[in-house]
Amino acid sequence: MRKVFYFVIALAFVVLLSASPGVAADAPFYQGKTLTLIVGYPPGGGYGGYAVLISRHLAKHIPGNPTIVVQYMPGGGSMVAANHLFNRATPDGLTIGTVAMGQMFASQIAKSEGVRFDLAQWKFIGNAAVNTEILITRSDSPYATLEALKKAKQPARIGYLAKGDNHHMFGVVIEEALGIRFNSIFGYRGGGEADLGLERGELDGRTVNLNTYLIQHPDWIQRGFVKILVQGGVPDENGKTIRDPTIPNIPLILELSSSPKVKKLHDFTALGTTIGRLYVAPPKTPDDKVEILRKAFLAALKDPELKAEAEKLKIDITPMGAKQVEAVLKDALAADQETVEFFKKIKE
Amino acid sequence: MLEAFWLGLTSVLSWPAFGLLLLGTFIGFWIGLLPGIGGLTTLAILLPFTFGMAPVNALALLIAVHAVNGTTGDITSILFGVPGEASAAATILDGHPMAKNGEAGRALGAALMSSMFGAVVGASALALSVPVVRPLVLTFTAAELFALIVLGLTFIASLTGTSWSKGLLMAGLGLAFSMVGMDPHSSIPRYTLGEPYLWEGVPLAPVAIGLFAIPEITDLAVRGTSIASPVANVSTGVLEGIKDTFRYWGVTLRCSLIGTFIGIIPGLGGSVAQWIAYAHAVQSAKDKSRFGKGDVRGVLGPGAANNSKDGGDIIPTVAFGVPGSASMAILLSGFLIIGLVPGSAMLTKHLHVTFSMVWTLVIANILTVSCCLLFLNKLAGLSRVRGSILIPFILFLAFIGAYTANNNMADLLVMAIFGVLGYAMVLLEWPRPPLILGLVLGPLAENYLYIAVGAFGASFLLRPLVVMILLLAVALLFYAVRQRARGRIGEDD
Repeated sequence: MRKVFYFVIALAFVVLLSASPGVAADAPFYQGKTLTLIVGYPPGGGYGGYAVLISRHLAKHIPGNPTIVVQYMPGGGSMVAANHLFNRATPDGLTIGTVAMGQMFASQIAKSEGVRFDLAQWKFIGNAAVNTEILITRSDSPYATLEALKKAKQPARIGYLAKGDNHHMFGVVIEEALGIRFNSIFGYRGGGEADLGLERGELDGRTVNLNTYLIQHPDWIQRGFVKILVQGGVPDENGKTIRDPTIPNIPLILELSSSPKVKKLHDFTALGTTIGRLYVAPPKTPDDKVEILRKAFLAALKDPELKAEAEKLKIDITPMGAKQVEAVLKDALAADQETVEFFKKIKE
Repeated sequence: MLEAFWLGLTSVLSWPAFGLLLLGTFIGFWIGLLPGIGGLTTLAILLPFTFGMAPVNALALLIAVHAVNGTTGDITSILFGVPGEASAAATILDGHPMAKNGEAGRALGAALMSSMFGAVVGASALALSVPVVRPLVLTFTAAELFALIVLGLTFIASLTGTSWSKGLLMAGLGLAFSMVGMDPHSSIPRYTLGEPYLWEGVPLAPVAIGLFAIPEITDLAVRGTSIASPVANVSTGVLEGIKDTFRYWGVTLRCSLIGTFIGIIPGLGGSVAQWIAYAHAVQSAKDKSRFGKGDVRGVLGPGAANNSKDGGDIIPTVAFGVPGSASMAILLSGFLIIGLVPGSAMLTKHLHVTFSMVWTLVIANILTVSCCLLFLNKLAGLSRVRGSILIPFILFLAFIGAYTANNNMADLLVMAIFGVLGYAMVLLEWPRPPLILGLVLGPLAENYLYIAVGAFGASFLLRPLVVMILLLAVALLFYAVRQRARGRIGEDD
């Protein structure tokens, strides 16, 4: 009898406990939940750095103050993460990710094998930074000036991470603008390794993000180890490309060639560089959750505390909302067939 | 530099750095002991908490966790044959047979003491090598790294197990398995059977557990006894193991140096160190017959190397921003958070911070080993417990270990498949270390080969250092063949 009594008490307890969440039915969705932020690169890189910074300030702008966990899923220039977010992640508003817009765009347009997503269906959350790409070469190499690069007999060895990522595309447009070919070497697993390759003499140059370069290599700058030859530029308020004010003396790619083909290629690849730190949610994520996330994202990026930390870490923040991202994407998707064919060939 | 050396020590011993070091040691201890929750995950979880901490404090916490979980990972390897961390797999080869012989206490003592020894030697070597580190790292380009991998694989394939040809074959099989996944250069899926699960390749933790732990568990079930067979005397204790570390100080010292060197060269990955150390222990021993059956030197080598490589790992991470291992990669993102930028400044202006990391490694290890020694003999008693009680527990440990790496049920299937393979390999006397090493090193080898050919063309093979390393590999192979012909290497895996 006693056993039955205890059993009934336990049962009642369990029933009461399981009933209580129902009572709190109008608590915000994110309360008590964990939001996972997937990063398409290994920890220690630019995407990881931004993700950790944002994850520290995003929760308080989301009603319900969820716990935010950063998860790293490197591979394929963020394509593994992109595929995961598109197909495997549960679209319940509890998983978002940061992936490389340029890489995804180029792969999709070229219909590369391994692409399992469709840019048109993503729910964009926003963009955190606008990149300027630059081409750097070792000062002691035979490629230390644009002239030398153009006239060189042997192609310069330029190192890249993944085929088709931002950095690679930038390099390709330079090749077209100058009418030369690089000896392109792929496979470096991160910026750090590629930089090491440059220092070791495996490479003559690299295409990098200006901000990353300024933060990570003050000693290179100090001893003049490399020269900056070309920049991609930044968009001004009207969307026109101008020289980045940090490096006003470096020419734009667009200034190197007046060919309309180069202009088209540049516009096509500008998508990847303009949208430097993209944040997305899986395609079937409900619209109401997406709205919450979009608002929170912009609020977090404008949060003075985040800005102060970003300042300290020298991380550049340029908030861009989802609508803006969609607009830029639309322009790029309107590229003509010739440009698309060109980049398809590049990816092979 | 001496200044930075002492400044590093005093900053670690000050409060709150020391308190964080103790906390990190405590956390790392349990994480390493329990298979499953890995050091990697723990570091990633702790990382956000370090925001806003002063560099030395944040690093005291993180490095302590990292340092210690390699040390305690050996415990379950020895007692149960289940690697507590992927880096503790080599310890199973001789550590677990020692437990079966009733020498669990001795094995534990040897593993822990050699770990501490390795940490100290690694830290000292590191401190002394700071001036030469930059030129050293810059000399090893992708071409030399490729050659080093070939050397490492040859070394291990030829020395472990019953036959060098079987060893090489298994290394080749491991390399073949490593090709599964998305091609790193053009993101084309290879042998992935259409499954996105396999895009990142065959996962390492389930394979390690499957290959090494499952056969041990099966063997235990088949024997029907306790881990230590009833006739063996369990009381050959921890003290004996400690004495062994100094009795065989040559092996311990050399394996510590091997671990440090492997750690310093960025791009070889951490898990290689334990295998190369093991192979060296075999190769340098006059009487090789007991390896695989419970030779204490097979525990000393990996134990020392695992910890010394942690010290070595720090250098490429800190000086070049190239993480020496996956845990270092997480630490690297930690750098960004605490406002440190990896680069030559860490070896000059901020040298004391680098040294504080080294000191943390040493102190955390000393603390852990001292604590462990207090109750190791009791732990060793577990090997006397009846198998039928222990097996479910060990199986549970193995499953957790395989599952929590990626939170994916498919990992359990991988573990089961490699478990069957591992058991078959033990029965048929095919060596397992080359297989797992091929799996680990394959992607690295492919990458470096690709880059080397791109950067230097086919003439990368003519680079002087590459030639030397490859000749060394050939020489080692001849040496191993000759030793076996003379019957000098053991009969069992």
